[in-house]
Amino acid sequence: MIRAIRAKLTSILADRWFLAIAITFVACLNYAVLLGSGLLQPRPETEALNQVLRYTLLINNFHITCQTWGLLLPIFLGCRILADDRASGQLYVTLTGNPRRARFLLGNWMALVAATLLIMAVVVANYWTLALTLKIKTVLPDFLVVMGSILLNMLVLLTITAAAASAGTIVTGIIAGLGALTVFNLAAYQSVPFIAGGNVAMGYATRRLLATLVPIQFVYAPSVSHAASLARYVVVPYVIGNMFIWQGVFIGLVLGLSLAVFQRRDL
Amino acid sequence: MSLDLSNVSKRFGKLQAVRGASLKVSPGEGYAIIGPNGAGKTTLIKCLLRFYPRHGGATTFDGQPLLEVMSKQRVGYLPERLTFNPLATASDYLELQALVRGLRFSSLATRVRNLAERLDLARWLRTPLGRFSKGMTRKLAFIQAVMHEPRLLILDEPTDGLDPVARRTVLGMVRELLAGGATALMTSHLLADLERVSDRVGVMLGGQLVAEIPLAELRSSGECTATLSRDGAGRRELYLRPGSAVDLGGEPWTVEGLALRQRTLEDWYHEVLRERDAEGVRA
Repeated sequence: MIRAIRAKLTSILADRWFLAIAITFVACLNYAVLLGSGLLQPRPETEALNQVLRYTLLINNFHITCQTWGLLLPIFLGCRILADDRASGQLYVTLTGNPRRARFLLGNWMALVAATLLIMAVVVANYWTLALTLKIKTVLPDFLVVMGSILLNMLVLLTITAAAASAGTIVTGIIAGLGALTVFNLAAYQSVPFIAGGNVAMGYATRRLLATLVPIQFVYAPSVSHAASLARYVVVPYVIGNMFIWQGVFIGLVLGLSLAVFQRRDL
Repeated sequence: MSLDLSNVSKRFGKLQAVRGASLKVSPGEGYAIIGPNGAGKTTLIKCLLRFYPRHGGATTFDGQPLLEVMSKQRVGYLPERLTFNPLATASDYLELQALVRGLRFSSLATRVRNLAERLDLARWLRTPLGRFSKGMTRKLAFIQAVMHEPRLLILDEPTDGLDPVARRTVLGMVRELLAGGATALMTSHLLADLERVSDRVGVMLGGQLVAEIPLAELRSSGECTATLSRDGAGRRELYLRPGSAVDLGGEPWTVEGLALRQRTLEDWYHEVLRERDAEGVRA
């Protein structure tokens, strides 16, 4: 299984489009951070405020960039869960040698998860490098919640896209992935209205429903325009209820459904 | 260990791609399916290998469902198109294929080396596959299909893209497997190659197996043109076919020349197409 995952992973990493999107993503990440935290000139009298501002901007910019560019990566990966193997003919050779379809699909999904983890490892390394370079102190629980939420968001989108692509075609996967991303952004902006600038009413139940489809994370950040009242906005990031568990269960359900469909579909 | 296909059918929406295909291939026998593009050959193979699980009819090998036979690593399949990860080496790829089949590569290493040497690929085993030519890729694809000495061999265009020497070697390897008791089902548009390796050939048209001929029958159905001469009677040509009666009037004729024309698979195929076209059956 590990060898099969490794083989799939090397073929993903050999893909120029994947590398192009990943490099652009990391470049956007750095650009967004430098535009925010990096350009702030610290003054001795406002050192404490600067530190808070720079930290919240750093973590917030990471989060927002990951939500925009970063979440395109799992869609790109997920929609091709079968396409490459099918086009190359390897799907047929592999399933002749080992006809357990569920195992094949699960192996491919795990390879895509491994690629996602690799991206996240780059993102985390990137964050720490920037934080150390800009001398920004990171609060570890905040950081873990943000990075964990980004990773789980990626996995949810990856699974939705991969499930649709394995049941249909690459196009079905893209449509499902982008659809889920739209719902996600809608939900995320509704739940963090002072970042989006809008404040459309959405009840807890509706948010919870949307979050079941695609999760919502609350990562509160202070508004730059309300720096004076900064203190009351600076709260510890948290997630709705057992959202990480919800996401895990959701991923499991979607994956289970896609395995059941894949067993019976024509290849 | 015979391969049995019984009344196999497959429909895609309104299109009936395969209709009631039945055939039996005995152990040690090579069966080739020929037909125009879109006739249903690949669809039939995909039904056989359970890539289309929702098809009509039954497919068994040695009395067992094909899925079970595939689980026991007794099937070798060479698809029409097979490309590889350009970063991996041929050796990596074959090792992975052995692992996928649940086999130890070390137990296959000698055979793989032998196959690679015969196909002039041994010195390329450590080369990244991105540097392989089309012919080399095809040779590697063939090796993966036969490296575990399968009992059932499904070959889709096995000699496509190969040079004449490699073609002969590949066909020889298939014959060796057949001699060892394996069963083979092949499709190709290179009829001369199929003639060298098959025992029986079936024509598929419009999703149906419409005709079948044993190659032995085909080989014995050529014709011979004899040019004869006799003093005072001039020359005459005599067309000889197996079973034809010859009456030369009891006179001695001198045989001046003999032209033997073997009836080829291609001749027979075109005859079948013409006959079926007259009946209105098309691909």
